[in-house]
Parts: sequence; C-alpha cells; structure tokens
Amino acid sequence: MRLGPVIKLLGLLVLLPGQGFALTSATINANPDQIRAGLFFDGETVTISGQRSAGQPLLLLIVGPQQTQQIARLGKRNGIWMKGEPHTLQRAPGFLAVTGSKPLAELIKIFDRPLAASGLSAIPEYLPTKGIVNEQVDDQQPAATSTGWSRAYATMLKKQSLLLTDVSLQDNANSGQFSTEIHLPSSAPPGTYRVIVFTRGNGQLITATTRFKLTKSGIVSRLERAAFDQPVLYGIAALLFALMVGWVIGILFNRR
Amino acid sequence: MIHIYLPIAEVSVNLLLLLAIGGGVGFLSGLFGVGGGFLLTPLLIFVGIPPAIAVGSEANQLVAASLSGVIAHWRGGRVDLRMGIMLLVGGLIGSTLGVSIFAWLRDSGQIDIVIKLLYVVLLGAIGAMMMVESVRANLKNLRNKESAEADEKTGAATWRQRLPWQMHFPTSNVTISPLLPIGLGVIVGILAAVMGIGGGFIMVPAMIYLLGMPTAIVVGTSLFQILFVASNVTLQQAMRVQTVDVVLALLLMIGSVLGAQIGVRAGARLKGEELRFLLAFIVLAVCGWMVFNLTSKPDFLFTLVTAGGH
Repeated sequence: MRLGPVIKLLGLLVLLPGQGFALTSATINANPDQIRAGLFFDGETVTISGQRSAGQPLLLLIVGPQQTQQIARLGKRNGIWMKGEPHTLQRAPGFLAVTGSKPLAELIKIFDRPLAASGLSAIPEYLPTKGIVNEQVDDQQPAATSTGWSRAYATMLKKQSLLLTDVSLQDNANSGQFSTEIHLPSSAPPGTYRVIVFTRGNGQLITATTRFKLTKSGIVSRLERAAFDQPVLYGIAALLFALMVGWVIGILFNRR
Repeated sequence: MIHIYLPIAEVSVNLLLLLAIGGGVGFLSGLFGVGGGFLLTPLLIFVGIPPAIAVGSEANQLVAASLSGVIAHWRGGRVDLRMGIMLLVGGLIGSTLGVSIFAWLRDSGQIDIVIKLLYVVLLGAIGAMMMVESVRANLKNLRNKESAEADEKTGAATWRQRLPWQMHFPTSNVTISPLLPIGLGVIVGILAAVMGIGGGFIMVPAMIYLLGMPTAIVVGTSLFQILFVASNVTLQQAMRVQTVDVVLALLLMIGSVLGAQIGVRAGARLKGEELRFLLAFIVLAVCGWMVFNLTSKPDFLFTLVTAGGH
C-alpha cells in the first residue's frame, strides 16, 4: 500500500484552518524581514502574521537586540540630585513589543516554561504583568530588587516608544489566523529582532519563531564603518571637512 | 517634515530643527565670540541625541563656525594673532593636564555632577561680574564714556604691570606679561578638557577684565583660540571614543556658519557694554537653569550609565 497520498492528506488536514482542527505547529511571519536604515529612515512598520490552532491562547513577543545595560538611581545628597551605585542588567532588550489573546499576566503564567526554554526567562520582568509600567517609578519604590531595576529600565524604553505593551492583535477565532502591526521607531537599535509566538496545540505547548533585521544601509552604513574601523582617517576627514565648510562660508560671506 | 537618520547617534531627527539649533547657536558664536557649547549640548540632548555624540559632534561643527567667524573678524582687523598664540600655548598645556584630571574625575564616578557644579560656579561668577560691570559702564557712559573706560581698567592695570616680562600687543594696544595670557590659556584649557567645551564664555570675559583687551578684538581672538581647541577635540573624540557624527555636525555647521555671519554683523552694530550685558544675561540664564536642574526633582529617577556594545 502506498502511504504517500495518505500522508499528504493527513498533512493537508492538519494545515486546514478552522475550529475542530488542532495544529501541532504554529506559523509566524514578519514583513518586511529586512529593514534598511538609510539617511532618511524615520522608523518602520512591521506586519506580523501567522496561524495557530483556533481558540488556543497566544502570546506574541518581538524582542530586539539584547545587550548589557547599566542603570543608576538618582538620589538627593546635599541638595543636589546625584547618581547612586549603578546596577547591571544582563541581556536587556533594546526593544520589546508584546501582545496576546488574553491578559498578559495570564499568558505569562501559561507560557512560563517555554519562555525560559527560549532564553527569555528575564523578559517578563520588563513587562507590566504586575501592574502597569508607570511613567514615573515612584520614590517610595526603591529599585533594590532586580524586578525594580528591570521596571525602571522598562519605563525608560516605554518613554522612547521602545516598549510596546498595548499592541492590538487581529485574532480570527474561527481560523486561528492572527496579525498585528508594530512600529519600530528610528531610535530602535540595529540588529536582529526575534518574533516569537507561544501557543498550544493538541495539549502541547508550541513555539514558533521568525526574525527580521534592522541594518544601516547606504551612506549611513559607510559612515558608521569608517568611524569605527578607521577612526584616525575618519577624524582627519571630519576635521578637514569642517575646515573646508568654515572657510568656504567665511570667504563667501566676507567678499569685499 | 524631513527627518535625517544620524549614522553614529542612531536616531532620526527633524532636519529643520537641527538647522535652527545650529543657526541660533552660531548667531551667539558670531555675536559674542563664544563657541556656544554650553547651550548646544543641552539643546541636542533635548532633541534626543545621546550626550556623548552631542559633545563630539558639536566640537566638529565648532571648527567650521569658528573658522568662518575668524575669517570675518580677521578681515576687519579684529584678531590679535600674537595674543591668540600665547593663549593657544597655554591652552595646549592646560588641555593636556585637563585630560588627566578628566580621567581621574571619571574614575570617581561623579564626573557629570562635577561638570555641572563647575558650570554653575563659573557661569554664576562670570555672569554676575559681567552684568554688574556692564550696568555700571552703561550708567557711567551717560556721563562720560572716556572716564568710565579709564575707571574700569585702573584696578586691574596696577597688578598687571607688576608682573615680569612685559610685552606690547599692538593689535589690542595693551602691554602685559605673556604669563597672563598663557596662564589664562592653561586654566581655560583645563576647563575645556574637563567640561568638553571651547571655553569661549570663560575666555571672553577674562580677556576683557584680566587682560584688558578691547571688546571688539576679544571676540575674534577668542574664536581664533576656539578654532584650535575644537580641532583638537574633534580629532581626539573621533579617534578615541568614536563620538563624532559627521552628518549631525554638517547640519549644525550649515546652520551655525550662517548664524555666525549674522551674529558677527549684529555684533558690529552693538557697543561693547551692550554686548557684555547681553552675554551676561544669557550666561546667568543658563546658570539659573543648571541650578534648577541640579536641585529640582528629575522627572524620572533612573538613568542609564553606559550602553553595552555598539
């Protein structure tokens, strides 16, 4: 007996959208998957779309490049506001957007393990799962705990539109298809952005990931490479250029 | 509205806004002979440029702005080259010392507070002194201009004449010891290295009150000295910390060189006392703003210290 057509048919059934069909996997796409930051770059809107089993919970995260950050709290000493001892945040996201099919706190509980398995165990600390990330971290809430520091950092991200916690999700209850749009501001750090969807299917926890890149291009990229790869030449060129501009303008404006 | 993405600052900023900021600061530069760094840095930070990039890039634009200003003053015979070279010698010694002091202060962890306090003390002292003097001079001018100028110079002249190696500076028409401009250059050089500024707002009043130079010559000579300091800072910042954003600098340059030319022309129509009064007003306003910043509760009580990687 030839099994090929049977397998194909089974595969088709699995992929067919609609209630009653439980997908054993989820799909996720980001469009565009390559964002080029040229001289006139002023941010970009990325469309995220995908599919999972209809009616299943969904948590969607967009995590920007993670890097070490040092954060300090200001305190008043002798009448002057000064920095206190800095705290280091390891692998802090440079951008973070989150949305889902249920309240965030509920989704974080459901997907606690797969988050950790994806190396994102620290991410919930940056999310407003225990109350909204305030515009101002209260004086009465010293950032002595790691969560306190993470919340303070998250507030900084939010002020720069680099933390999006109110992204609307278009979720089709019948088909299981979902989509959303996120706006990357121009201050979003260049690098690789991970788009991760956590869901369930056939009683299993399912994770699907895709990526998009934000890279500098054209003259922006060339200037950055020159500044970091050939700093001496770059410095001399910057100086000569400034002298030339100053001289030309000086002569033009002072012709007798 | 056209936005420009800055390659080193990694942020997009409104083109017209940057040109306007450059133009405004350039106007002050041409008018008073100050670099305007003390105004430009906070303005750039306000529009979203990271502080380190703001300091490095404004040094680069300052090269263009000060050179165009020097050319304008040079053609009008208002640059004392001999005095400028003395100041420059002191400035080189001072900035070399200043870099070491900066490193020591940075290691202590409170460099930004030290810089702000230095600003407040210097701006407050210089602004108050200039304001009092310019008001007094204006009042005296109502009676007799010549006697007023003689009066204001008498006190400083006595101790200046006691210093050794008296030298005549024909352009400024003063006879003083070269130790004075060199010493002044050293102090300003140290402050310039520690505070990341050209030092014009300290240099200009010091040249008027300490060296006894005519206000008209002071502006061009100050710009001459700033040109070299800014060139040195540009090279150092580009080579050592990669904080010079040439696109940002270019936009500031275009605005500032145009502004500087207008400033030079406006300055030529104002009397010395009026110029000093205006500068004193601006210096005191900035000082007041910094005191407010240091003592009032910030909007947000946390700040990033360093960003990892690039």
